[in-house]
Amino acid sequence: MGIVFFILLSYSGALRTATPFLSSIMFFWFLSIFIIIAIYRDLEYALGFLSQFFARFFIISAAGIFFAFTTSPIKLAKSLESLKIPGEIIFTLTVALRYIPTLAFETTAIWDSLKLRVNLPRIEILTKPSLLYRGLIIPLIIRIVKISDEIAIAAESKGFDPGKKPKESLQFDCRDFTFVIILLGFFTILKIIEHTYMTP
Amino acid sequence: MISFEDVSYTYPNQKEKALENVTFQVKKGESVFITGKSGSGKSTIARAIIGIIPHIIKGNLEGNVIVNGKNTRKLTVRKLAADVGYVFQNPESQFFTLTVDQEVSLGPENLGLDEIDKRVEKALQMVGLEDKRYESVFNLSEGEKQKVAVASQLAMSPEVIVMDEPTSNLDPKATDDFFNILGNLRDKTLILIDHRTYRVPEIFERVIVMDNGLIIEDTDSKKLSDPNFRDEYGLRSPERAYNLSYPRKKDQEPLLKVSSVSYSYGDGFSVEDVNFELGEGEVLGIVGSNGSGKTTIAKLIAGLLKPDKGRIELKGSVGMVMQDPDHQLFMDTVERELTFGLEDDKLPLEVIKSMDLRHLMKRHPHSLSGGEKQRTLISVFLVKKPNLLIMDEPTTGMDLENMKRLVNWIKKLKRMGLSLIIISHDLEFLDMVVDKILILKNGRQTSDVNSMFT
Repeated sequence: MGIVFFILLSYSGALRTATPFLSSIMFFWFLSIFIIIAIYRDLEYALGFLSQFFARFFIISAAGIFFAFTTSPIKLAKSLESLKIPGEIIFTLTVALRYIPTLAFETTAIWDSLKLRVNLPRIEILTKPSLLYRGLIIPLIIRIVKISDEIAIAAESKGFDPGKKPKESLQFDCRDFTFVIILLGFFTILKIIEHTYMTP
Repeated sequence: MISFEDVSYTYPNQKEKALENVTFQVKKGESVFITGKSGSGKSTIARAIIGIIPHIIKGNLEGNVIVNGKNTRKLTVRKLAADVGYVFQNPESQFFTLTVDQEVSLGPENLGLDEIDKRVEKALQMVGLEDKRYESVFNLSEGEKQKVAVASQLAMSPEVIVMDEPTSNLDPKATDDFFNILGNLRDKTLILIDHRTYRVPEIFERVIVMDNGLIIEDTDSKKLSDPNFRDEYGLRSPERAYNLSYPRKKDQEPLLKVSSVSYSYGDGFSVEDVNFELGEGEVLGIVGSNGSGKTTIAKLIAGLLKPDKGRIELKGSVGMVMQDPDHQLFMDTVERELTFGLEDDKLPLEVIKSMDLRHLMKRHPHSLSGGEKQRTLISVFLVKKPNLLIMDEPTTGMDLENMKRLVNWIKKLKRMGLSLIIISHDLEFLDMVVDKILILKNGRQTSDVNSMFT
């Protein structure tokens, strides 16, 4: 599933922004394997210890970024409106969704800036929580506040009113159908693997 | 069409007024250019016209702002959207959807306008983006993004279009394209807010100069061609005044040698076979259209990226001041920013004096003006005594006074023996500081100066 989302991300044009995020997860994944090997001297245990957690995290992150880059906030708003969700909640959710690609870009830019500023290798920065907090989280919060305001203003200045009743209903299109088929295919394969190899 | 009646405004938690007794009228179909120093109140006027003030940014608003016969105090931003379009400085932060088609049709859909398809088609034709209608907004160049922003406003057919520094992130060609579009919008009431005056007398009829929240001049825009008028108010020339005869310095033993460097992002974009040298105390300007690979080259030199092919040889260390100083400042005082990471925590007094930071030492870095933030950041790198300093678009949003100040700092750094690489679209600024120029087009090095405009 991770590979599928990675390919889909590449197709959606979000790969350049998503790569630093996903490579960080991969980095921590491998790091955890090395640390467990160093402590327990057991390769099988090291591979199994945190691998499931990181695999899930990788898939969720890739899927989340793919969702943000390919789901129109307007379509999401229309779907939520048809479920009678209050306008204020829809507006907050759609601005948040629209913000994910910007957040991904900002995080990458701040991470690069931090590396230039402190002139330390990535691994050394990652092992200093106070530096990570100061150098990554504080500038990110400041940028989040600035940009999210701009995005909300952009939506309002185009007359976006999430409380308004949608004129048209959304259709289940070819892309949705393809996605469901791929998803079902994967779950079927996983079920077969489970049934064949993992059932005692 | 627009009327400011004795308008004064104070931002929340501020004591000083951002606008003070501002009174002016703009007739229907008139085009007005509003300029002035940073912090003079230009953007506050834009925010008041589109209703952000007082509906989103509260503060204390006195007097009346009337747009198309309606008092903005009584209408929300959403309700004013049919009358006023707003184009921001940063194209990325004004998109709310994923494709060009969705973005341009968003406004008309929200306003319940008819013939949306035709409106989108016509708006995209006006900005020359008919062939990009179904493209993802993430795949567009900066210039194209700004065109989409204009098209998304045109599709709503507003009477007034307000633009706040819309070309500050655009390359020379995209800037020209943008002004060509404005030239075709003679039936609209146009308000442009900017420091740069390029092509203003050609497109705009009237210029308003602001200072400290006051209108200090309101006259014919042709006056911008008069050097005495510009000197009086510290304004830039509307002509592209620069001399691109490089190099100005004789080649010397290189501090930096970039040989046959190539790099690919793996998404179709790459820089190929870039070669140049930079000597001690020299300043290199990197120019090229948006997305031509300028920042990629800088990141390769700074070590953020590793070249796929070729060699980068640098004698000494490198620092890089990014386009947005907010990304690189993270301590709670300027003093702590300067001493961060130093082994002895000793104040770098020489740098503080030479960069004129003494009076800012106890201030929070994020409370500083754009120019002050940049100076703080340059100082942060100077403390580490790098041999090469890279600056990415240092004059974005900077008025003439601050730009001249930056030119003086750069000349000072050169005298100190520091080599600099400056990435900028601002050719007038580059002309004042650089010794050499590297021109990039689609990731390739070129010697054709005109490639920046075609």
